[in-house]
Amino acid sequence: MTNVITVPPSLDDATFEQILEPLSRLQRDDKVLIDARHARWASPYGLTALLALAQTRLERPSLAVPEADDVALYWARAGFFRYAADLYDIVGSVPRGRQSEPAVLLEVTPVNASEDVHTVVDKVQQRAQSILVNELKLDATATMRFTMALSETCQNIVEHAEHGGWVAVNSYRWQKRLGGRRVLVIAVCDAGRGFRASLESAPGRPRSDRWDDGMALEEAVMRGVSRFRDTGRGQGLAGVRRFIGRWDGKFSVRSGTARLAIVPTWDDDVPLKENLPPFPGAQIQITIPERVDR
Amino acid sequence: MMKNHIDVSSVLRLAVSESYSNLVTRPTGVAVRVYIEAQIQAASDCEVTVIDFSQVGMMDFSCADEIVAKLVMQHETGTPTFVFTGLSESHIEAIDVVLERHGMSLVSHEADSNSYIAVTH
Repeated sequence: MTNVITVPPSLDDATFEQILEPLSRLQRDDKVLIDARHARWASPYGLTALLALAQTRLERPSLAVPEADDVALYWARAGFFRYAADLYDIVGSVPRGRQSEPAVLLEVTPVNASEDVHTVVDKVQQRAQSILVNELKLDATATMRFTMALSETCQNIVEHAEHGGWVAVNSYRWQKRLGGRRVLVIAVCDAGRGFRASLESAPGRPRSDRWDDGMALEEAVMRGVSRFRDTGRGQGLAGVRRFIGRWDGKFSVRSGTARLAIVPTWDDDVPLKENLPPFPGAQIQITIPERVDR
Repeated sequence: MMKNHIDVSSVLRLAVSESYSNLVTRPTGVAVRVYIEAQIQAASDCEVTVIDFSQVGMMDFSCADEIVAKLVMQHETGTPTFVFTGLSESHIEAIDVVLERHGMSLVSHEADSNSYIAVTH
């Protein structure tokens, strides 16, 4: 029997939970069809998380392509189907035309090794300057900090996931939130071992009464704790958190059953969500809004 | 006083890849530091080593830790003295973050405002 899971019309970090909820009730070897026929929009998080989802399945899943031509074409130009075809049985027609022309700042890109991080940084550095300065009204030095944040989040996969992951970056205008301001969104998703298991692998790690995915995220993101004994390790995500605060941005990390977020004043999210449907690995999103003079 | 001048951008290309201009990822940082260590050994009579970042694009925290913090810590009690030059605002930011974790900070070197040394708090 095939279990059909419907992709919400608007797929982002929040609505992706609507996919994980029914998925969490299935066995890993159950047959799944991810039905995206009625999808109208997907964020970088939505696309990269869909790829990570396929990596968690023992039985090769199927994916029904969005029926709307413009949506399917956008997913194609964002590089999604290039990798989805390796992970899913694709149901429906994938647009072939103009796929070489990127629709986004960074197409869906696999991150498996350090060399991939260099490639991602080089690509984005060239393209990001005009978006950060002209569209988001950030100062020119923001490009360096932005690429640092991108580098550190991608390295999280290489250093800790023990499993390849995906990164995508795009900028768009929010229709309803933030008064229609532009935002730049980085999504880095993997289905690897996640923060809790990574920290548990540290030799001689002291046990505490409370130890769960939420605690692991707090240790890693807020306190810069790493599985390595080297005191120089574990600074990446903590450093990213600092940058994001300076740009009034939002930083969220989901791992296992918890999600930790650095929440700016313009957003109504909560800092820590627990007891979410379990999902392996780490899913990171950075949102940088257009600056407005107050 | 004899000075050893090391251009980090050249080291990056020689030690890791001709096509790289950014100091990102920990393996890259390790490779660059090992190469710099070899250059320091080869010029062991120099009391000062100038590490020049002027041709480096971006440097992330991992490379700042591997290249700057670890170099300084490994030579904390001996020679050479390290002078870091050609640093951009974002380089300084990354270095400050990693040095702070090791109980150190960057301070201006003599009157030259674009050269820095690392000191223990």
